[in-house]
Formats: sequence, C-alpha cells, structure tokens
Amino acid sequence: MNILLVDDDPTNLAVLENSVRCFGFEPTTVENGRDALRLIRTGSFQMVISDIEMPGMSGIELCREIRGRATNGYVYIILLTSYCDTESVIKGLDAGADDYMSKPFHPAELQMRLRAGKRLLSLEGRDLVIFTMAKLADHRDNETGAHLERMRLYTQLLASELSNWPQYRNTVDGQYVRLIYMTSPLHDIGKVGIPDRILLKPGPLTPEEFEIMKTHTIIGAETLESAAQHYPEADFLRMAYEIALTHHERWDGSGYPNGLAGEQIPLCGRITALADVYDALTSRRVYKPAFSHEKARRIILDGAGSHFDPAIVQAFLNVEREFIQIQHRAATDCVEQSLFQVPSFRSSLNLPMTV
Amino acid sequence: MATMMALETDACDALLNSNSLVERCMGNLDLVQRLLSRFADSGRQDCEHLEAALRAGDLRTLASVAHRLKGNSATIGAERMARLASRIERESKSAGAANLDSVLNSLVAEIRAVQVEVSQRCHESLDAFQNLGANGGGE
Repeated sequence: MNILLVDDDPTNLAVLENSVRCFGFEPTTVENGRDALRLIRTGSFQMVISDIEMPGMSGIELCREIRGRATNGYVYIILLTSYCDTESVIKGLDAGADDYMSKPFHPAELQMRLRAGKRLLSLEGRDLVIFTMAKLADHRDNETGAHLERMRLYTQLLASELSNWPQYRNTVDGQYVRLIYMTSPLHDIGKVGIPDRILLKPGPLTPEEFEIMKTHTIIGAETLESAAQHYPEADFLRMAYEIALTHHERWDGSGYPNGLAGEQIPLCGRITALADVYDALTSRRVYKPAFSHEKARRIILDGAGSHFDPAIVQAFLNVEREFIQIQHRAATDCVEQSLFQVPSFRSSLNLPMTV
Repeated sequence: MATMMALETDACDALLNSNSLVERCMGNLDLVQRLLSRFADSGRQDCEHLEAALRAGDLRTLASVAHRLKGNSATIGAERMARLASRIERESKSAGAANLDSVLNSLVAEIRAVQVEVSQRCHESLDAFQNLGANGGGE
C-alpha cells in the first residue's frame, strides 16, 4: 500500500520513511503541503501522514484541502504533533484528520495507528463491493431510478427509529442500523437466477411463472448462506441472508417462501418488507404510475397487522416526514452522501495532557 | 507517551540516549549514522541562528528554530537538549520572555556538548555504536 509522508524536517521524514517501509508500506516523501496535495490528486494515495507545523501550507490546511475536494475514495490522514500541542490536535481533527501521533513517535505506536487506518479503508472497500453487487443484480429489471439507494435509507431510518424504543434497546443498536443500511440493498440479489422471460415479462405472470419468481428469495438466501459459512464472523452476511430470505414474508403468515408469521420473521426482514413496498408504491412501474405518499401511506396502514408488523408501521408513521424527504431527493444526491460515509474515530481519542 | 512526558522531567535526562534512537530507527544503523552526521553538521549554524534571533529580539524566529531543534533532538535521543529547546520555544511564544538569555546559553552549551558526543560516536564503528545502544545508552 502506498503512503504519503509530509514533513519539512528531513530527519523526521527519514525516520518515518524507514518505519513505514519496515511495516510493509511503499512510502513517498514530500516536504510541503502543496506537493502533497498535488500527489494526492493523482489518486495514488489512500493514506497520508503529515506534520502539522510546516512553512507554507500547514498540516491542518492540508487536511482541510483534502476533505474539501472530491477524491478517488477516502484518504486516511494521520497528523504528527509536538508532544504538548493539544490545541493543534483539536484543530487537526476538526479539519478532518482521522488520527494523530505525538513526536517523537515509537515505531510500535505508528504500526498500530497504520493498522487502524488500513482497517477503516478496507471497511470502505467492503461496503462499496456489497453495494456494487446489489446494483449489478438490480440492473436487469430496474435500469433507471435509485431504488437501492432509497431502500437502504428507508431501512436505516426505520431501524434508527426503533433503536429509540425501549423494547428494541437490546436488539437494535448502532451496529444494527449500520448493518441494515449496508445489507438491505442485497434483498433481491437472487433475481439474477430468474430467467429473463419471467423477470422482464411486461404483462402479469401466470401462476407457474409466479412460483418461479418467488424463488428469488431462496436463490439469494442460499448464495449468501454459503458465503456466511465461509466467513462465520461476518455478521453482515447473516443479516443479508435473513433479509433476502424473508422480505416477502407477511405478518399474518400469508407471505413466501416459508409462510412465516409474526416474530418468526426476523426483524430485518419485517423492516425491509415495508421499505420495499413503500418504494414500489411510490415509484413508477410499467404497469402503474408512481403513487403519492398519501396513497402509499394508506395502503401501508391498511396492511398493518396483515401484511406488515404493526410496530414497523408505527415506526414508519413516526418518521413519515423523513420518508417523504428521501422519496423526493434526487437519486444522485443520495449516492454522493452515503457512499463515502465513514465512521469517525474522534470520540475514542485520548488527547494528551498539556504540560 | 512515556518518552514525550519524560522530556519535561529530569528523570530521563540523557545527553544522547542512543537506545531510543536505535529503537526509533528500528535497528537501521545506517540511518542512525546518517541522522547523527546531519545533526552534527547543522549544530553550529543552529547556535548562530538562535543567538542572532535573540540579539535582534526576533522571538518568532527564535520560536521557530527552537521548535525545529526540539523535534530533531527528541528524535535522535538528545533528551536534555529537547527539553531546553522546548522551554525556549514556549517562552519565546509567551509575552514575558524574561530569562530567555540564560536558557538560551544553556541550550547553546548543550548543542555543543551533543555535537561533540555525536562526532565521537560517528567516528566509532557501527558495531561499537550498536554495543553502546544495547548497553543502555545514556551518556
């Protein structure tokens, strides 16, 4: 992995270069912020370690410049500070740095901070791959529109609302909300296994064709389950599996593929069911116009207790305003805002004491 | 963090802590040698800069040179020097820079002492330096 080292002090730069090379990175060194910015714009660097106090452009200004421009993927920034410069640390983090390290640093500390950075960058890569897979599967029958972008925002919104309810406190936490946002776009991934003549048929399906159509839930689930068996620690695969399998189940047991009822249906499946139906209702299809929010809302309310979990319908009503906003927002905006969402490390930092 | 805090106390107060330098260079003795030579070469000029800035009452330059020296000396393990440079930097940034004179004299004396130490070590073979490092460094 390439790493860009920025410091006007050649001694410090040489020590940094030596360490990161020992840790298996490919270092490139520059002595000022302007040169750093020029190299970052080439898209070759996802990691930058920069001194703060430099003539010309300071490390803090460099951070601000990097964050202020669209870059090809996320750039992870570690700032180097003097040992008693808490004020600069705060300014640097506020300008968008991910982490900081006091000088002179210990190589073992540098190694751990680099590891944290790599972990974060790989998570971003994973999220992008998941979403790309989902888009690929969706592309066959849904070439236009931003169904998946809206879907994940709807599911995120519903889960986030439920996380405030006492009865869900132990199941729906921040991690759950993040996972459902990440995995709900995979709900229809099994459609890749449905033949074109059925998936793309303009008219209504015959009962036989519909039986085949229903199998997209099982095809998707089986694919994700086999992946989950290889990576049992990947809880997002587990949730993706549950969503793919159960998002067409209904609260009263009349859904498919297994006719599960009530809480037999995993919560993530119940949430995705409502989000999927709401988006289908408010989007234009070959066989129907886009319904207004009010009409979609009536249909969903009618389905409380039969099609939908009444609690999820209540959650929907509580965040109705946000649903309308998402539905109206241009799809491209959704992509830009959400694709590069990266958790912040700031709250977990221990700032050094001023001496 | 231990190293950094130590800079402000007398507990760890070496003229040249070669142990920490070797560790920071991850055992790359070639790099150790290069850093020490560079440091020895620039010492005299650094002293001149500091004294000229003080004579001219140019506290900004003084703070900036002291800042650089603080970083450099801490990196090569000149702990006492790092502590003195840090004091100069701090005091030249604060309004009442009263006893800068005496601290600056101490710093200049310290730079010269480190320079002498470094030149001696640079003349020793790398093996000898490594032994010094392995035996606990210090003065």
